[in-house]
Amino acid sequence: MSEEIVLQASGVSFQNGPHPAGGPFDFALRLGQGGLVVMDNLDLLRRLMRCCLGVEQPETGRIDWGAGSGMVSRSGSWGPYELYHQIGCVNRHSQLLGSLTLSQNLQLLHDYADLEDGPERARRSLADFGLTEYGNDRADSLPEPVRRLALYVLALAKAPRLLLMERPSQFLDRDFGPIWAGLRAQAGEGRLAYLVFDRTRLPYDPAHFQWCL
Amino acid sequence: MLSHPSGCLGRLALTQGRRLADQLGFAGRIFLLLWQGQTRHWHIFWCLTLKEVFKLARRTLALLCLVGFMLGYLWSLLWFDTLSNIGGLENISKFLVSIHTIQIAPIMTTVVVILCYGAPTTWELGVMKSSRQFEALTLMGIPPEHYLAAPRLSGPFLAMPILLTIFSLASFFGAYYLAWRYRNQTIFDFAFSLSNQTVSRHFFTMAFKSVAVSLSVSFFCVYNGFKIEVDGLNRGSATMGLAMGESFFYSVLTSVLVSVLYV
Repeated sequence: MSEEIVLQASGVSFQNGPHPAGGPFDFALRLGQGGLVVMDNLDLLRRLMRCCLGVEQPETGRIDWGAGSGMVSRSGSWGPYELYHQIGCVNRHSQLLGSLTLSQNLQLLHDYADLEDGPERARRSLADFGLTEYGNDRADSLPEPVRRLALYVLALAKAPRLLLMERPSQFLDRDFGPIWAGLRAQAGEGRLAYLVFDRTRLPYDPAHFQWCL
Repeated sequence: MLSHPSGCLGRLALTQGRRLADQLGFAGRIFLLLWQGQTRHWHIFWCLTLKEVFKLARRTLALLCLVGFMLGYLWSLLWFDTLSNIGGLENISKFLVSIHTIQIAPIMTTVVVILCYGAPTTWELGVMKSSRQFEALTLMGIPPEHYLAAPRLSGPFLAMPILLTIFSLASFFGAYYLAWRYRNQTIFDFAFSLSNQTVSRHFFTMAFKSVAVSLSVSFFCVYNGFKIEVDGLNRGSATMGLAMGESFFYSVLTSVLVSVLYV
């Protein structure tokens, strides 16, 4: 198990107006680990996830990504967006651009992330997830399970060191098994840390997580 | 209790000042991201820009030709009668170039571009922002300013000189159609009289106006599209009003400034 911390929350708490909504949350996720955040309060769950993604600021406390691990953005070039090339995310809101086809979405991601062999890699990723036949369909016309699978393709295309998932098995049923096994294998090799956000811990095997919040 | 008029003016000035500062910051951010990404993502930028140029041309070309033709026709009709009565009909081509093409064409082209391209662009960006597609881009590691804003600024910048030329040619054709009907002029006579009146200064003025107008239209439409809040499309009409009002106001202002400074 690597000692490299890829995500650390220190004293993160939230307010609903003058009332405290939740927290403080303190956790550290290391490379190779899996974490599970379970909360009944869906709004709070999403706010915490958005903070972990860096698209929202917590009211108090702070979140750090890969401090001292080379995961922070290189200065003088693309700025904070480089950080997102190392974070994968599968959340409730679709991350596909509706006006583009699935292949174009993937190609765009490859182009901006400077990944080599973009078109070939995109084709291979779609084939791995059994989505080749949907490659030329507009993203906004895809059925929900396919869209969800496509989100995994997009999230994993960047070979992220950190993967954040909101209700990861939603819409997927049997398709989720191989994906989950693949993620755990990557984590076992010390290449990935994953953090799952859900309302209940029922679908999960506690052995798959190093800690649960 | 009614507030003092100077207080209202002060608040308005403060709001406008803050908005101007925000707009300057937005422009600076786009420029910075474009500058930073120029070596790595230049080809994506050019592909997206060309896409915007084609989109702009497809949406505006038919209306520009029609409005240009009608305006040239009506403008000549107006001046033809007037000059026939008071004399100086030989100067009609001079007026056509110096007043119609230099002063009126940029403003009319602006109106068509705002209606057919600027307003849909604001709405498109607003819907994307509201449906969290900006956030999706950010999470993919793609700055929305680079992917969405910069091409929508550079597209009109490249296309506007062509659109202005097309509008002017359509106007000339409209004017010729009238002149030909009344005076049995050949198209060569008409073109010759126009070329006699055209000097290099006119081309420079048109070029400066094209830059000023294209940047004004595209910047304010894009800026307002970016300012729509997530799940905030209920304020869409106010944003559209602001986008169209600001882009038209600043287009006319810059166009007039170029005229004052250069003509």
